[in-house]
Amino acid sequence: MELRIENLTKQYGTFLAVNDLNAVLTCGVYGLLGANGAGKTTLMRLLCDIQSPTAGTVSYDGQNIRENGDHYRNILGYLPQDFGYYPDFTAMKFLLYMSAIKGLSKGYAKQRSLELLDEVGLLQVKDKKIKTFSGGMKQRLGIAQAMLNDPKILILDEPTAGLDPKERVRFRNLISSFSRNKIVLLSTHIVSDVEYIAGDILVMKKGKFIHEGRPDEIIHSIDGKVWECRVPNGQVPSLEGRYNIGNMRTEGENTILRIISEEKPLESALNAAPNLEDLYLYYFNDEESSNGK
Amino acid sequence: MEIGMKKDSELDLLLKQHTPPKVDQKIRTLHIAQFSEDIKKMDYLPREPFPSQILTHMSYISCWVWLSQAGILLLIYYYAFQSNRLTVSMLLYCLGPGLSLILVYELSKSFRAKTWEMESACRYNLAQIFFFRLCILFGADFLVLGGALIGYRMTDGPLWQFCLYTLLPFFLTSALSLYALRRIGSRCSSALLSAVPLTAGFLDYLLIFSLSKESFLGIPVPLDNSVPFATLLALALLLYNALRLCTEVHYLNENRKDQKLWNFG
Repeated sequence: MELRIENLTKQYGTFLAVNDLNAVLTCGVYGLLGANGAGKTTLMRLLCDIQSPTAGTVSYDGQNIRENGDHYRNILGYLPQDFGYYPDFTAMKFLLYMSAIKGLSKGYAKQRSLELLDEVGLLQVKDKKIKTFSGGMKQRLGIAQAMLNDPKILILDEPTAGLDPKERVRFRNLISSFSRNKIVLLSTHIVSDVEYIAGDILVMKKGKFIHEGRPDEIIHSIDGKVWECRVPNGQVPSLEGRYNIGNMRTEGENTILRIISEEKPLESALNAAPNLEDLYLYYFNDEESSNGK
Repeated sequence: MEIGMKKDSELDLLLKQHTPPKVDQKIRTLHIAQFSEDIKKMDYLPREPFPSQILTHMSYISCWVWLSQAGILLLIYYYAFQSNRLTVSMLLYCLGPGLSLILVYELSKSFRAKTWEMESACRYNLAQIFFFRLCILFGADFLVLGGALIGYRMTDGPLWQFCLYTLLPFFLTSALSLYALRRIGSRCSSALLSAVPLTAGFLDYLLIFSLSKESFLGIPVPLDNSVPFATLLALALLLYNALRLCTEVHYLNENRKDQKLWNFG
């Protein structure tokens, strides 16, 4: 089973959202990392055949997904980033509706909906209207609908947004148990989610993959660029302006800084082992700051 | 043999005492082939016939649609039984844009509720979902229009007036509303969707005025063949826009950034 992306390009007017991407996804969990506007959502929509590419193809087991139509959608599960619900539907009615448009038989749909509601911890509220749900509950219901048809390809755009730490752990376990013999692609800003469950990471910037590999391999690409140092509190503002600060912890009169920098920021700075969050900051700090402006 | 609570070493010993059954390779191969056949036959994704799909989708149409249509019809019959032709005529004029508003509002609920992306990735994608919804809503609209016609005839109202005051505004308003939905796609908002049928309703009135030569109930009416021609033209426009919407809706939003137009909601 493989999902092959070949020269995939999507252009909105003059803006290239996805720029000549090539990749082959086989069974496993893939984490998609990138700043806002990197092209993650567009890529996911292209993989779900919700948008058509300007150039290039996506093929599943050698067949173009656009020509495959409902055969491809039968094996697809998708959770969009920005989604809603029919407010008057109950959780159960919503899953039954999604089952109906996924073409599942009624008996199977009912059984599978109950099973998934139980797995995402919503069985107790299955007959309550969705408009009464919290953000986290809605997100969990979204994850459940994506898994209704036991998809072979599961695409999740920011699935952990709005989930509290306990729910995130539950989600990670759910994905891990679900992902055997399947292709799971998830994008998130919460780097630790990817770190725990993704076997491979795709780092995306300005519509292109800039890194692709196992988390430990990718992290090694910034070896020697993460530093830790202890500085007096008064020195922190000037360092903040000059360097990319990953973390700071105040201890009395001093502050311990974690700095991501090509060169040694201070004489007293010591090299630290990088993690995925450092990697994210190394590649996307500039974009995150400009997005925030 | 009773296993009970035994230690692991005892269980190992117990298992060693049991020799595994001899497997006949021919029977095994036969069984595997049989299982594979059974799995192929087990269809948890059956392709349902069209009437069954319509019934399924009908159960997910909002209740307010049926209630408001039944309400309008009851109101028409209430005045028809009182032989109040003036009120029935006024109600019939409002019926066209009213039904269009219900149609476009229910049809576009995927965009308003932001479920369109989830629905697009399903086996029956957005185009097919819209087609099912259109079939159901048009079916219901024609039943309501048929009921309204019977009510109007009870007040001895002529057929051409029904065409002019009800069918023509309904076809034209619906055609314009579906056209608007085609143009704005997922960027539609409740305010915009309400504004389109109401504006179209007003345009209908201007059209009727331009087609007209005499005055009836304060509204000028035509005396030539332009009424059936205009009604048929509006029906053709409606069907054209409905078909285009169904064929285009799946990729309707692909070249647009996700931004709403005139979102007062």
